[in-house]
This record gives sequence, C-alpha cells and structure tokens, in this order.
Amino acid sequence: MSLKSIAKAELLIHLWWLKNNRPLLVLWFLWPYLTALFILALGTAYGRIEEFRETMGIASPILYIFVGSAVVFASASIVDIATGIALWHRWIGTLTYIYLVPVRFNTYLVLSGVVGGLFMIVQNFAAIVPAIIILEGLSGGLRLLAVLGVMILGMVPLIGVAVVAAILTIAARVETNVVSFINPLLLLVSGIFYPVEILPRILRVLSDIVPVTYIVESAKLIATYAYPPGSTIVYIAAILATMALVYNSWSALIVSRSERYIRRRGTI
Amino acid sequence: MAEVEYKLEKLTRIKAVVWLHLVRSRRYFLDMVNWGIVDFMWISIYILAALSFTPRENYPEVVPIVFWAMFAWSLMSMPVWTIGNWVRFYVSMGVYEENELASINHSIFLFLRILPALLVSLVATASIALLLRYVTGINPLVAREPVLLVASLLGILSVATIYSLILAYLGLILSVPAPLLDFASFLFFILGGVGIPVEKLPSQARPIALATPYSHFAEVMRYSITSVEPYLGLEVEGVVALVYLLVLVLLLKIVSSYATRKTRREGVKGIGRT
Repeated sequence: MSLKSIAKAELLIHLWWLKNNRPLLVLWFLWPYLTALFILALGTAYGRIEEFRETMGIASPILYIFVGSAVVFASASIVDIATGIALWHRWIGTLTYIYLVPVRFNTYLVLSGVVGGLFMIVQNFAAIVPAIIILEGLSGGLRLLAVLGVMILGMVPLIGVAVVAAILTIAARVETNVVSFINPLLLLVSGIFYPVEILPRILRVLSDIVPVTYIVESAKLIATYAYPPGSTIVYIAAILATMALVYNSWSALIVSRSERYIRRRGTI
Repeated sequence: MAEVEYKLEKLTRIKAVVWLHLVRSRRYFLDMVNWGIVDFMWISIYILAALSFTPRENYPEVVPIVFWAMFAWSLMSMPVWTIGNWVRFYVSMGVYEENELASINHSIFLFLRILPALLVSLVATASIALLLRYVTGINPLVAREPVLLVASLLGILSVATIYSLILAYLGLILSVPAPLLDFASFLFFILGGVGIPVEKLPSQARPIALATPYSHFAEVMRYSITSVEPYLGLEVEGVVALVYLLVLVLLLKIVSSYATRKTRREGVKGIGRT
C-alpha cells in the first residue's frame, strides 16, 4: 500500500462526500462571504471602515476582510481534520482496522490531515476568487496566489500538532473533539481582524510563535501593496520553515511515545 | 387521586431526564470545558473585529451594545448545536426508540439539554466580559434596565430553543443535520436586527428584520442597555415579540406531531454522515 494510494483515497473521500452533500458544498462556498458580511455589517453599524483601515494599517480593508475570512476557515483546519478523522473512525468502529493496515497510524493521520487541509485551503480560496477579482482585478487574483502559497507553507508546522491532537483525543477516551479549541486559539492570537497589541501579554507572546500570525501578515501585505515586497515574503517563508522544523521534530517525539501508549492501553 | 399520581410520575420523568443530562455533562467534562473555551474565543474574535471599526472615544457607548448583541447571538446559535444538531446522536445512540417506548416526550428530553449548554454559555460570556474590560477599559456588563435586559435575553433564548427543536424534527423528517438547516440564524443576526438596530439597517432590509421574531426582542434588549427607543415603540415590540413566540410554539407542535407520526409509521432514519 503506497502513500500515494492513501492520499488518493483521502482525496476521493472528500470529493465523493461533497458530491453526495451538494447543499454542504454550496454552504461552504458561502461561509467566507457570510463571515465577511458579518464583520463588515457589525463593524460599520457602530464604527467606520476608515477606522479599521487605520487600526490594521492596510490599504484595502474590504479586500483584507475577504482574504481574512478565507484564512479563518482554512488556516488551521489541518488540526480539526486529523482529529475529526480519528474520532470518526472510532464512532463508526473502523479505528481498529485502520490500525491493522500496513501503513503506520501516524502516517495515515498525517496524510488525512494534509490532504483534508489542502482541500479546505483550496476550497476557501476558490470561494473568494470572484470577490477578489471584482475588487482588485486580475492582479488581486495573482496576489491571492501568494497568500495561498504562504498558507500551504503555514500548514506544515501544524502537521505534528495535528497528529498529537488526534492521538491525545484517542488517548483521552472521549467521543468528541476536545481539542477543537486549538483552531480558534490560533486565530485569536494571530490578530486576524484587530491589532495583536490590544491582547493580554500572554496571548501576545503566544502570537509570535504560532504560524497563523505569519499567514495573517502575508494577507495584510496583499491588502496593502500592489506588488508585495519580496524580502518580507521570503522572511515570512523562512520563519514558517523554521517553525516547521522545530515543531515537527518535537511532535515526532511525542507522537511515537503516545502511539505506543495507546497501543499498550488498548484505548483504540 | 389518579390525576395527582399521573402528574407526579410526569415530574419524576422530567427529574430523570435532568439527572441524565447532568450526569452526561460530568461524563463529558472535558468536552464541556473545550466547548466553553471555543465559545469564548470565537465570540471574542468577532467582538474585537467589530471594535476595530470603532473610534476609542465611542467605546463607552459601543462596547456594551456589541457585547450584549454577541451574547444574544450566542444564545441564538447555542441551541442549534445542543438541540438541533444533537438529535443526530439521539438517533444514532438509539435513545430515540428507548424514549418512545418509555413515553418520554422528545421535545422535553431535547429541550432540557439547554441546562448544561446555558451554564457553558454563561461562563464563556463572563470570560469575554473580563477580556473586554482588559482590552477596552470599559465594563460591558451594564444595563439601564436590568430586568428588561434579562427578559429580552430569555425571549431570544426561547425563540432560539423552539427554532432548534423545529430544526431537530426537520432533521428527523429530512435526514439533514441541523447546522445545514441553520443557515438562517447567521442571516438573522445581520439582516434580522439582532446585531444591528432596525433603524440603522438599509430601508429594504427593515421589513425583513421586522418579519423575524428575533428583531423585536433585540430592540427591547438595546433599549434596556441604552436609552434608544425601539423601532416600533416598547409596548408594540413587546406584544409583537410575544405573538411571534406563540406562533412558533404552534409551529413546533405541528412539526413535532408530523415527525413523531412519520417515525412511528416508518421508523427512524440516521441523520447526516454519522
């Protein structure tokens, strides 16, 4: 059983599931728009768009809110997907069989998370493409591709976190995703729709070490410059690459130990 | 005498259901904690986003309104998940049939799920108030008319609960999970006059807002926080809100009877993927 065939199977699961749930597909395409509308409506009802532009230090606030809404739904989805897949197999009673396949359980979780995460990122960005092209023309669409690239890179440091979260959920013998707070936590500290400086000190410290903060920075760049400075993009990419190396090395240690633990305890 | 015994038996059943939900909450304690943190974080993100549009000098007026509006939204969306969505598990765990055999009212069983959910919601909201106080220096827990504020929030919770019970029964009839059917509550918040006062909505959107039950309770809620007169006047808003509540109760009765008859005739089908 090759890794490619598992990745292909995961992709087909997502495609077929959407094919059988077409209303869900429509809703998923609408969610970034609803979120953008929600923030714009609530914000402008009691304030001004110019204030938002000034507070966030960006040139195109509406463009930024659309990109930010896609980031909200996709940036850290890998964690929820990997955990959700593990729980889903437990619910339907197939977790034991997944353990028995020749590929290691960790590898399966990584592949499920990565394929699902990529699927989510592409889907959310595809959803906002029409709005970006209307607002900024073709150049806006091309700049969006840069954020898409950063977002895919930003997913890499979270691979290990996603697998640890999935294994911990199984080890905790719970039936629901008890670590679903990770996704909103990453977004809260990233300062996606407000400056990080207003947050309490502990959250500001956390903000510097989560990948989503740098995805948000890249979204700010495309909402400010027609041609985002290459050096800043390279700087962001370098930080994310370093995070990927550090976080995945740490989590690899935790993952192998926790997998042994759940095998020994029979918690699958 | 027989009537008294019947009423006592009914009360015992309700007590048993409350006990079951509380025991379940203890069993899923980690889930409850996670749920509270998630609630706190999502609502904080949206409130802080809204405040990024507001000049600092307007904070004393805006912070309490946005805070209570988001709390109202939390009350609107929480029952959709705890009741509307939970019906999936209710069916897949086989409790539906068990309750059917024991003559336990499904609406009451699902409705009482609100108790642990409300507890989580209140703790999350108190934490958001603390965060807002830290970030803005304004205490959002202020109201000009606290009794009216509580009454309007209870009204919003009642509408949301009845709406969620209707979604749960529709889930049983259509096999579609409630969150998919809940597209409306997101729009209700924006166009339905909950997040934004009816007066401030575009003129084309005002009839839509007035046609939704939430807007009337929300107008009363805003009146209790600030001195802004409700769009239709306080008395009229109150009466219209109560009429809507009665209509929803009637609608719930019709949908629940239909769903119960259908499941008794055809059996219960699974809802959604799980």
